[in-house]
Amino acid sequence: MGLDNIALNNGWSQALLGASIVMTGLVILSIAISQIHKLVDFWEKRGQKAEPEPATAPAGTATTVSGLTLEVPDQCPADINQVADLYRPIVAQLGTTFELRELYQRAAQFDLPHPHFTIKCLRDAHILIPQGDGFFSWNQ
Amino acid sequence: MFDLLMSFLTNTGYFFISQDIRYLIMIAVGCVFLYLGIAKQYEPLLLVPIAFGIVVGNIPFFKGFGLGIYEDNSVFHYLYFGVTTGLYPSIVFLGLGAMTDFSSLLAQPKLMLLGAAAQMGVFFTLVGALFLGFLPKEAASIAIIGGADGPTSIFLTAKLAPHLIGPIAIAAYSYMALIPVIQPPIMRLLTTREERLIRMEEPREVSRTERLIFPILGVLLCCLLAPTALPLLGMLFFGNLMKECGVVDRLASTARSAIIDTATIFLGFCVGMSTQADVFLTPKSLLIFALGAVAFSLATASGLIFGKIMNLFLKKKINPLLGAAGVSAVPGSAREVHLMGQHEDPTNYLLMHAMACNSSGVIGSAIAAGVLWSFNMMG
Repeated sequence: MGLDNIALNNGWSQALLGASIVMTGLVILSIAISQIHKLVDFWEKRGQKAEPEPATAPAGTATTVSGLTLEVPDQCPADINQVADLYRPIVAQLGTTFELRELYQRAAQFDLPHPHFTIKCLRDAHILIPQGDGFFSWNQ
Repeated sequence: MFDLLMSFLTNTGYFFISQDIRYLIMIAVGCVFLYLGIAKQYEPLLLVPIAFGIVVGNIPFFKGFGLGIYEDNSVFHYLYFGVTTGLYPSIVFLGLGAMTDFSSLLAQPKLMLLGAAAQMGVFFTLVGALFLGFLPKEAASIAIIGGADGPTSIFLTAKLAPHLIGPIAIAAYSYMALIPVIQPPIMRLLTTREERLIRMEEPREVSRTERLIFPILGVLLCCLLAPTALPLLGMLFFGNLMKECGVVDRLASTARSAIIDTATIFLGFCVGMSTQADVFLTPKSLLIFALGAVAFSLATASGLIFGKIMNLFLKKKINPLLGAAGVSAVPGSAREVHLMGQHEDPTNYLLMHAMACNSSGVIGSAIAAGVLWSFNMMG
């Protein structure tokens, strides 16, 4: 009992080393996961570069989901307003406020190109406005 | 015939209770827990099986009939096998992984440090338990209560000090149920109002690929560092991979419903039964309860203080209340942090961020358990 019992059973070393190991483990994991999205973005962009640039924008494919038909281009339009035009009918179906997950799912159903990246661009352009609690609204 | 009647009467539970009042006390404790679970709805999914287990486990009987949880070849002994081998906690972790969304953690990896910091309570308590004269394996089992993770506490105790499973499990689950009582005063004591009002920035959207890579990366990084955490973290990340990969939805769905529910039923009931009065009501158990409260409080305080320390170095300050959610009591502590934040500012939503700390606390406490296990196996 007492401090002698701690020393006798390597208590100080166990506590110090144990705490350090747990902290090190989670620090390494947090650093690793903070890099995942960069690697994923890099990988996706690498794939894009490998594709030859078309001389003219492709006409795209008409896709119908839940009664809504969209002309889906093979690549993201360069102009954010064109992107917004593409997403506007989907948003109209989702209502005034919606979660990004819903928008992503609908975009994926239409097979729209790079939905994650596009939704991020729409947020950066303040076309998608956060309403708090994970909900967003459309600003156009 | 009279002899036969007397012989029967001396084998009834009434007779044994009249000989040892401790059984009656434990049955009363079980009834109080049942009341709290059913009427007050305090963690009913855990408390109801545990409470009924306490009542059943404390009906005294003639030893040697092969009835009790500690008697070889009894039905309850076979059910208890899942506790003593760490089987049920592993299965619970599988289900937990299949129901956990790590998106908020992936969007804000720095919050993982709060989950690590909250584990410091475990190691402070380890020293405290050794100071009070507990054996090293017992001290490690008591210390893990600070991780505020029932299955992890049971797992480690089953490996190191199986004779303490009853008090440790009851202490761990009791303190989880008492989060609304224990954590808020510590949160208020260690943070200023200005700190509690800090708003967190909206986390970025996390892609499916990231969520898919995380369990693979997580199991590799954590379990290569602490292989003894494999039974818990291996199952946790496997469950999460099933959820995120999207091609085994049926398995993921079963893991997060029927499988985890089955394991929880048997785990809770057997833990309750293990509180048989003659092995549970001892001065040691009271000491374990006291140390458990210290462990849980220190874990909460460690997380909060580390959150404040992080703010010294961060440009964009984090709300230090989130540190209290670094203990792995999912989702109770996250809910408490959210409520505390909303108490100060009803438009401040901290739940999503607190869940990130909570889920990293689950990983952290499993690593801590693995580390303590390996220390005591090497010693």
